[in-house]
Amino acid sequence: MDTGYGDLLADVMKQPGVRGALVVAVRDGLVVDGRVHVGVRGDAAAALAAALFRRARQATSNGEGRIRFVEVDAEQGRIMMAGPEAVALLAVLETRANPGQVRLAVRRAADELAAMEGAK
Amino acid sequence: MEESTRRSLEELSAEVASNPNSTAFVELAAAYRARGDLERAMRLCLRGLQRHPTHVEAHFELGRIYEARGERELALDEWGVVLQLAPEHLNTRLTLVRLYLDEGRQSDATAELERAETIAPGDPRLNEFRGLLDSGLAPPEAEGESGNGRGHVFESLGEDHPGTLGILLVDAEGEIIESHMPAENGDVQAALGTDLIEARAEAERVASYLQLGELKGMVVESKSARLTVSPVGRDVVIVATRTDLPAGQAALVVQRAWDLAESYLSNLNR
Repeated sequence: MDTGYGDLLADVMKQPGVRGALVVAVRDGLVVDGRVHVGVRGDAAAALAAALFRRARQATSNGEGRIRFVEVDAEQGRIMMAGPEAVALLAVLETRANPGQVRLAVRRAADELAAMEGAK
Repeated sequence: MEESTRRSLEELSAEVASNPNSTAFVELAAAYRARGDLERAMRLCLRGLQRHPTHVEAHFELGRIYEARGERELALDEWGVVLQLAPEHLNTRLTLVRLYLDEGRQSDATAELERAETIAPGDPRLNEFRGLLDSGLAPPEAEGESGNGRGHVFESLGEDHPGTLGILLVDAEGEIIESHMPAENGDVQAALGTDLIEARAEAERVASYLQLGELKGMVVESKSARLTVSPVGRDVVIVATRTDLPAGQAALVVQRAWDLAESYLSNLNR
């Protein structure tokens, strides 16, 4: 089934060092669409990342405004998550990825996601 | 232990009941306070002070009861009475030193400690307080633009980097250890600290599941602010910067805040 997210996922996946890109429903952590390398369990990663996104949203609800981006930096890689309201784009990075470039790609994809959601 | 406390209370109660002029009410009030029965301790002390209005130890004890009830101003009033009646009351002087240290009022604590040292130069408790003051372990001055009794540790950062909105140092339970967040009130800070500690736990879970290794940090960004969460051992330092602050400067603020937090925590644990 074509979800319409194929192009924006491909844009993120073409960045060197990106092991997975997924569109995730923030409320329940379900994968709407995604591309992952072998070894990355997208469904579980999406569920956990969505929980983090919700928690981060709660943390900023007192005054910092709605969050638009979350990044987790770990010793062996990173995850980035960005999105409008109901859905967000999740990217899983290896250490060799250029975080600045991927960040831009993720933000761009999130903007497209927002535009698509707004058009629905 | 429980039995001996109860017996002691019974004995004291009997004495106070049989002799309304007895000053044993002070000891009895202290025993009630130690058991957490602050209401009864306070009533007893106030009633005893009607008969013995210049009883120094009764005023001192009433101050301790007020302090235990969280009524700091009333406690200070009582200890003020003690010092009017007995300027050399060492326990009151030391209580004030402790109170000032707790509140981060180091200069007041120092002045009070110096008075205590002239009263009882050999008292071993003086050395403990002197050690705390000299090692800088006491919390910082309460006064300041943070407005919540904290903020000294990170104060210079906010001044040097105008794009810094605030800095929190939070322990593993979400309790704020230090803060410099002038624009926010305490409740907002506390909520932010707790929620971000929980977000950190979620981040660790994701990193662990994806086999990304140990968490180095986390960034949460809204339209107006970027919150950077960096672990310092079991604690975390949270730096809020404006999103329009250049990334290099923001990274510098985060690094400096981390260094200050690490140094502050090392001093605390030394």
